Amino acid sequence: MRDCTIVLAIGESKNYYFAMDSDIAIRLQNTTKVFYPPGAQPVTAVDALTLDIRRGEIFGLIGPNGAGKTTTLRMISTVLKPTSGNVEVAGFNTVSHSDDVRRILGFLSGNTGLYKNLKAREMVEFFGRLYGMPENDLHERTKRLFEMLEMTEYAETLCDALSSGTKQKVNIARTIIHDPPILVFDEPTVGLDVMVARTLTDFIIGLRDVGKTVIFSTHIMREAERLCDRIGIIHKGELLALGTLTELLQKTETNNLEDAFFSLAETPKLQV
Amino acid sequence: MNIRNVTVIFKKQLIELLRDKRTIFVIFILPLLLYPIMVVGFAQMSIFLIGKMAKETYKIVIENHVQAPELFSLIEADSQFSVVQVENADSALQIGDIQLFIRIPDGFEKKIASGDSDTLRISFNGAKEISDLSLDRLNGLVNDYRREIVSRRIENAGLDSTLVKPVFERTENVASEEKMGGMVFGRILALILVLMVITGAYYPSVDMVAGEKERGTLETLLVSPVGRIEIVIGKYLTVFVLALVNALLNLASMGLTIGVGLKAMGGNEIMGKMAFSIDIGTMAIILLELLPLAALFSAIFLAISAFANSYKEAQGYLTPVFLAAELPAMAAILPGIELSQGLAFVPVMNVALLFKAMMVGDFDPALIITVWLSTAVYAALALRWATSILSNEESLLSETKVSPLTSLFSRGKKSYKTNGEAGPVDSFILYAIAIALLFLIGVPAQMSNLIRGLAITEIFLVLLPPFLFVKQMKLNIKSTFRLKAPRLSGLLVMIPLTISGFFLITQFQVVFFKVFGLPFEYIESMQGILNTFKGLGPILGFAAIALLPAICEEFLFRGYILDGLTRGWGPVAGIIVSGVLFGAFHMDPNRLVSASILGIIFAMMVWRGDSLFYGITGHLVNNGIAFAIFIIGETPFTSRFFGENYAPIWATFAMAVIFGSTFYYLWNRLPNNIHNNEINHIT
Repeated sequence: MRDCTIVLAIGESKNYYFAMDSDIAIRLQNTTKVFYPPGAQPVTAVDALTLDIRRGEIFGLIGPNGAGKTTTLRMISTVLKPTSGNVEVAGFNTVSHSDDVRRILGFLSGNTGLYKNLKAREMVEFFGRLYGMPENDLHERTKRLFEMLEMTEYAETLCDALSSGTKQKVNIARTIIHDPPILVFDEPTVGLDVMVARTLTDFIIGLRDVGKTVIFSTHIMREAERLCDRIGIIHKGELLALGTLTELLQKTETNNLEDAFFSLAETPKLQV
Repeated sequence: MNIRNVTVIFKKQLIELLRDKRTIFVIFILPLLLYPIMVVGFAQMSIFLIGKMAKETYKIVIENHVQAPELFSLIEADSQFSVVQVENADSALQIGDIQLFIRIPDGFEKKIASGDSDTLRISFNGAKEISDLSLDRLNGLVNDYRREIVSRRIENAGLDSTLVKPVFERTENVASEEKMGGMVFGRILALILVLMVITGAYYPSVDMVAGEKERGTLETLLVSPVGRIEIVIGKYLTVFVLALVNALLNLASMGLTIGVGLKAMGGNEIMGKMAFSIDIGTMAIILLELLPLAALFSAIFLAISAFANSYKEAQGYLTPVFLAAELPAMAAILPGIELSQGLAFVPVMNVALLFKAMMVGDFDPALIITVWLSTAVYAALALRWATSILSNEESLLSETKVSPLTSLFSRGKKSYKTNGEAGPVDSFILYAIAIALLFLIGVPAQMSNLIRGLAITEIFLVLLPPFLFVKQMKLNIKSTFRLKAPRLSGLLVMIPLTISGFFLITQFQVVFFKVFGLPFEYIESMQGILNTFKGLGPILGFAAIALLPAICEEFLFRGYILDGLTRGWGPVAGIIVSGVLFGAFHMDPNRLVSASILGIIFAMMVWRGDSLFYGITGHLVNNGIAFAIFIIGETPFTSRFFGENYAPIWATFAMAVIFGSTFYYLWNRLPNNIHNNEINHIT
């Protein structure tokens, strides 16, 4: 994954600027999301979440299924609007400046699919065009990304015919085609085999090395332990704890993240 | 909106779909195969049927034929008869070995020659169709034979033969070959053409929204910096273009098949009967009319597809809509239904009817514009609807929203099973079904027997469908239909409200009549209907014209339709749209406005009071007055207050005051229903 760093560094030159000259990449203030399913009780998926994610860190959002991780990430990536509260990405409000936010984000989730009738190259270039990249830059960068990810030979293959590992590589290429400074990964390793998952986590570390900000969610505690600079533990829509791995373990007097989670989930709200 | 993004999405969608085998087949291959196959199939079948009939020969036994050589030779000369001999003619006739058995009395032709008369005994088997046909044929022969004898006798008597045949007739079919061909074949082609356009929009739209959701690509698209509207327009354009290409190919294939294929086979008698020509101008108009139709269905299918989370589910939703859309198109091929000013506004049916008329080469050019415009308006509304649905974050992300339709069409799924709620889509589907049923069953039933037809219409076509919907979707009967106890005072006040409303609406019609010169037909058209109830007497008449519609129509319009619309669109739009739908349901341009106003007033009170009984009372009073005025007949009173001239100004004023005050009273006194709060939450 060393090559990866080089290519991403080339991309750096065309980086987007943060609206606010600040250390905060993503800021959530009292962010709440309530769903109103027809014919059922309203569901508060995220409850008054307040959280800062710093520039250049890998931030992990940890919690069981249904904790509100995906909803939080979807609010950050502008797909959902918060019911109340604010979300800012690089100083841009996700509701009032959703276009700016989407431009500086790269988003990848575990169940992201590919257009099966597009070729791998077409798939990546399609998204590049949506990000407004000029054709020349786009071809150049697509080529480099494919080389870096060792998948040049599959460039003209229909996505449908690719192996799951190559598919995930196409997805990675798609996520970083526009060289976003902030990346959002929603359970990116779900359903991947061990080898492919490892490629992906290595890739995330590579992203930090070139100065990107990464927020990612997972329910696999090991992954978080290995990758994250800081970790937020979320349960039933509420943030239970926030800090580095060491801080969390100290505070909960446990040896690993899993135990830390259970000790927190049983005792209400504890700010580290 | 960024045009570049729209283009990028459009191109990508097109590439994807053009690599999809199913799309290729439906859009490109099917049209090219369909028409030649249809023509050949149609022709083969006709040849088979006609050929079979022509080849049929009738076996006939003639007993004692030596007594009638002249008749015998006539029969023998007819190629369709074959004279045979059997042992037992009676039993052979019974079992169908022979078709006819003629017994000729002794000395038959001698008697005739001498100017006398005698009887032929002809036996046939009425239980066999072929025997029946042979009898017809024989009757023709015997008639010729008889005529021959008569003219011989007249000649012998030295008289002119015109004496016994003073009138000659000559029949002539004024329909040209083209019209005849068009009648038979054009009807089917018109239907197929409309259906193919709808089919063309079907697959791409399922694939592009529900399919993308299922594959997990839609979310990725949503986090890229493209506007929702750009996504919608990009996808919409793709469906539209494909539907249109499909239509074009259909048209071209049809034109080629008819123009080249049929002409090449023109020598054949049967083919000749099917042949008709479509000129370039007609083709151009057909294409022009297909544009808004394709636009309409592209939008409808895209929007509905957004409710589904998977390809399969989307098909589950779209298939009923598809079938519902086919109904009006099918109705168009029924004989006797012709394009009229009113039908020019019925979506799908109008286009199908216009095509049918054009195939026959006989249509009103003004209606081309009406059909085009009304379809274009529906298409614009549908696109507006599609954009609002597809721009809605929650309908695009799988787990967040469950469509009310879901519960109707996927009963097996647990999560959708209970506590569903009706939405605007359901209301429109129900309305479309009711209209279709009215055309297909109600109108014919009323034509054959008005009273029975009306009862069938109201009970089975108006009242039953909303109940079936409620049952299917497992909705709460009581809350959907607002079957809650009304306030007695409210019901009582509905009476003066409706009476004054009726009066004011009548005056409103007079204004239209006087100011705009529009026909004064509100009362008249009512009376036209009422006249047929003369024989019924006041009680039965009242039941048929007031009571039955008041109950049944309220369940449909102020019950199900109002409920679905207000849930989706809020009370204001829900009340107005349900009222207009009610007005349009009367299928009478003269009553559209007045019935819509009435519908809106009833809907307001039903919604406000949260009880259907306010609507039933109002409806009952309204129809009751109309019936009462009719029973009373033309009196100074009725013509003064409900006639073609303005009622006295004091009366109008008094009625306006009564209407205003009762309306004000009801609106403020009726309990504001709890639906209010729910709606505020949901929207």
